[in-house]
Amino acid sequence: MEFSRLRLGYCRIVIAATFLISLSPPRPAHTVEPVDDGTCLTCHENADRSLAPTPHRLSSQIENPEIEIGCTSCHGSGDAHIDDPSKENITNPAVLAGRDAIAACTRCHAGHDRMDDYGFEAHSSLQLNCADCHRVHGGGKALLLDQQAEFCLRCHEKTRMDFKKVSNHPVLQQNITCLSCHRLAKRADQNIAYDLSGPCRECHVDQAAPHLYEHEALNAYSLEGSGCVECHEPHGSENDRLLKQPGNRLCMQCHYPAGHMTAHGGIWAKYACQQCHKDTHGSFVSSFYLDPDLPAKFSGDCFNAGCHSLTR
Amino acid sequence: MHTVRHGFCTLLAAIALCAAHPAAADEGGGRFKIGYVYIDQEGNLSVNQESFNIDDPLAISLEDFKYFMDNGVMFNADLRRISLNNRNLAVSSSKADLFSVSLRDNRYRRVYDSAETYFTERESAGGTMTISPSRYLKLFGGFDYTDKHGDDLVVFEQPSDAAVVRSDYTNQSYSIGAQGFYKQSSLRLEYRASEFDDRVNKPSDRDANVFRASATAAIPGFERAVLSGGYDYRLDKLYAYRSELKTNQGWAATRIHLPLQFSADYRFVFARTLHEGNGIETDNVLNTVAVGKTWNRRGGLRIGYENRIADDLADRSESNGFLFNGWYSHANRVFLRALASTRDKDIVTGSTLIGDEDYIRYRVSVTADGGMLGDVSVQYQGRRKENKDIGSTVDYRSISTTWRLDTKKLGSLAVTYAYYLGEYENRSTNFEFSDNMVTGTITPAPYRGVGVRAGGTYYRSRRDLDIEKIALNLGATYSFRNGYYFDADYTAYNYDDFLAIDRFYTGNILEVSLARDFSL
Repeated sequence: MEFSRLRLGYCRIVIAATFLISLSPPRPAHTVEPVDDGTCLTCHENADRSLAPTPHRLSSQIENPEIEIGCTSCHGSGDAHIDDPSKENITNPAVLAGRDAIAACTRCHAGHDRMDDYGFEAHSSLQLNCADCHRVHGGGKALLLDQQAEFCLRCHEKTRMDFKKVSNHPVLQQNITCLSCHRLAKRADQNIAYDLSGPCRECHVDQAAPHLYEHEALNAYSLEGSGCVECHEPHGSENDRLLKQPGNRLCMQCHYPAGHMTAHGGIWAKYACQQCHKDTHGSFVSSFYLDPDLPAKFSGDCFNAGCHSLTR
Repeated sequence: MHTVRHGFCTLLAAIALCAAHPAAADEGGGRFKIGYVYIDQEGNLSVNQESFNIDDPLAISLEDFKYFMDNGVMFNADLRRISLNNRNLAVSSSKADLFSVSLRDNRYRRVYDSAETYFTERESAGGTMTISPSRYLKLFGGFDYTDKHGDDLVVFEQPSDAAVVRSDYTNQSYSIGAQGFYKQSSLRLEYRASEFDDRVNKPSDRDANVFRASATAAIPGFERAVLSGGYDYRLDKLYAYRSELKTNQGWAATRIHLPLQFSADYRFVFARTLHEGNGIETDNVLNTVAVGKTWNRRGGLRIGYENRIADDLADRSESNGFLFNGWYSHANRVFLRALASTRDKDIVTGSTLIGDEDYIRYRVSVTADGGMLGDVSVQYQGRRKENKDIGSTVDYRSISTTWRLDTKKLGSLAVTYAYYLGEYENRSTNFEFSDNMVTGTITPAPYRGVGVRAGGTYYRSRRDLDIEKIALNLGATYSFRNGYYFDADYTAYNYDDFLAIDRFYTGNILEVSLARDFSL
């Protein structure tokens, strides 16, 4: 019954969308007056030089170009500018705002307007200027402004502060960059099983699944947690090792150790959780993530007497 | 590993040589730098992360090297702080629509005890390569290499006991793939494999294989609408314990640009993850729908709804969430943005440890362009999570403000202040912190070849913590007429944890360097 209603809802959405699409005229083709590149380069000497090693190199300067790219492809018709050379009568995509800011680029880079930045990714929905991160003339790899991705922190000033806290990921020390963990654009193919811990496991693979006994908080696919960020602040923290809370308090956010408080007169309540539950990220021998050497450390009293075991 | 690196270098050189023609107009340049670091420090060396890697006094760098060949081939190199123990290297070469090759190598370490006896070193290296035999096809591949070794000192909160954990592992991954393009459509296939070799705990050796396929296409006749979809498969294997983590995932999405600058998105993801170690199979289903509206340069609004189901046969949870994102620009001088998302998770069947969960995340920011007075921005953000079944709440808020003034005539100035407040409550205990942090830099415009700069950071964490951290930086550069630069940079650090008597640090670090800009 529920499925039928759901299907009916979907059908309505599809019909409505199709109707609206059919009403709308197709996007107008990009039309520019084909001002010759040579005309532009007469004044803007060497402007082509910085484009030569990039995908934006001018078609007029190579044999058999597969894609027609000229100065006017990005800067629009230059007729008025030729008559009266001033900044006001030529398009400079780097200083545009709003929809225009990305429209100049997405005419060719359609993916960035459509799928690559799918969803609620802030960069697309806020329609920042592509030039906030990229430099078309003379940019390096991927035409980024700088390979250390310093341009991210220019806007994300609060995040820059996070990297100066007590423990932090070494971004300001230039050992990693923002792009080491963050994708350039959020894509539609979000991997539910790994997304929130995926970037972490690339470097911290020793703490990643599979274990025989998983700590479910680590696994984004589980019902209990949302990955490494459940316990760690990825940018910087007041506490050691990027932890959200120090010591036992972190564990107690989810675990109420009632037994520890009362059993044997509460003698274990004063100990650090990790002193016994050493394999916090997951264990190969203990369902309680206990230190495999624990039976030996306690001279066997607790474990050999039959009351406790690593898995019970 | 060395063989792989050698192979890539040979390939890079071969491609460059093949693509090269005798050229008269090749050009390039960069900056060569040699530096020496004096360090005077005392206290606990494990508390100040900024000085962890300064253990070699002498280092050389080749910064921002670019070389353009007449045939369109470009070389880039950024080789920083090359010393006996550290380096941060990146080189690349590319020719538009033909190939690109890039390599990187980086090392850093983490210190765990006061006397620097226990530390771990991590090396991260990698490379990527793309070749485009035609405009319709791009082939790509790459590798990544991570090595970590050393002694990690785990310090327990109470009693003050410590344990040494030895690490010595490498992780290598390789990927290869192809992407085809035709008009507005593309198809991408990728295979990735990785191997984890743990030399301390051999039974934890594992490997992973990933296959990904995705496609994007415009709907014929409706170029305003695009369909996208894909399939992912990932298998992680832990041989010694016969444990596997296997995920199959399919996804589909569409975005439609409607008239009057409306847009609509829909996304569906289904993933099934099987853990063969514990036999639990978890399904995750995600549906997201959103509509957006833009008013040219004035503003935009986007609202959406997301439903997620997680089901491992024994338990089932369902969450509903709303998403909001908006921006407003007033005459390109004042920019306001706000976003919020909520998630209300209920355990439908069965029971879990943390039970039902309510979560909200929000952020509001305003940036104003004050012209001659510079830019001012204020940002307020927070998140609140509540698990009623276990009496647990997390409330985290922060407010930050930045003033940035940048003029060619006078120089630049930036000051940022941030306040953080964190409150954690649960049945057993609670934890609170309030942090104040202020940081600033001032860089006057150079005068007669002399440039100076100054900066500092003050950090104070209170309530359940009592930490003070100060950094002060002064620098000066003198530019000689023949392209040489002399640079001196002094940084002083001070760290005090007033609740832990052995956690204090004072460091004075002076780095002098001689650099030369060159062109070829």
